[in-house]
Amino acid sequence: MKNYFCQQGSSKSAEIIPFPLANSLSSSGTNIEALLIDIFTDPTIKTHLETIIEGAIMDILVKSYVANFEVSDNPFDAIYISELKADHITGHDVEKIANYLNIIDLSNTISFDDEWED
Amino acid sequence: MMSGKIDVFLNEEFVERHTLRQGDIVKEVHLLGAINLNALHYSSPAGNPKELASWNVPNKPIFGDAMIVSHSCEIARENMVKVTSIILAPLRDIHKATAKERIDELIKSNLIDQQNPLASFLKYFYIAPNSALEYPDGAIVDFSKIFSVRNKSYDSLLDKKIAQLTQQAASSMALKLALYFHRKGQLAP
Repeated sequence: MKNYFCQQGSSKSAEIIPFPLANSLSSSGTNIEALLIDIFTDPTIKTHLETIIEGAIMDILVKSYVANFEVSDNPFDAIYISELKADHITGHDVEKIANYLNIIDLSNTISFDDEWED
Repeated sequence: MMSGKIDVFLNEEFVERHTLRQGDIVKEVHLLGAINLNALHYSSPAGNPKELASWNVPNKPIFGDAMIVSHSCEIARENMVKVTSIILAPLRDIHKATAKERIDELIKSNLIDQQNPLASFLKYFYIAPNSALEYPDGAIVDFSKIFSVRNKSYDSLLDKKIAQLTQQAASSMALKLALYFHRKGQLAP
């Protein structure tokens, strides 16, 4: 990709860096017009931008759908994997649980005389 | 330091009244856990016996207190990820426990993350007496009777919220819950 920002040549090497100056409209050092022209004429950039925009639109649509509990409140419908992200699990969490792998459960040594009948 | 009987609940002024958190206790909800699948009655529309249109449980409904065991993040209102259920576990009066001599041991087993014990009561988490609860001797949360309700029940459950665990107590509860499912299948001695 072309470099659209002004750069200073090295004072030691006196190297001149190519710069696509179609005009000098930008006073801040950024050639906006050249940037836009290249964006809309370069197929690679155009395709890339289209992908980003389509993804953003789909993201909004899916979030809007999922956020509408009246519509999507079916616990047994599809899982929207594209909307899921991994839960953060630290090594400490895993280690903590693993430390108790061989623990003996004493729960069956006590019961309750109530309406649950167990 | 937290024991089985102290620092379990947040003081009244710190209880979050507008949100549900893991470890919250809700009162008088319909306890749906431990349903007998073999006792369910199914109904079909006339002329179409293969279509199951409705079902009922021919038992008296049990209402009682329960604890929210869903992770706090998972049931947060701002969470836009698909979360359709809120998971609960019923409370049981420890006064009705059959092995009274083991209750102290059960209470101490709440400290599982501090004592690193070789054995514990993984199915139960002890809840100390609290002015908001109707258990003079305390109660236990029974992980073996966990059930879920739709997230539409959020406001209903929030209205029934009567107590909130401290972060440390909620963490101990969650650890016990995790170990209840994680442990190797060894029989008690």
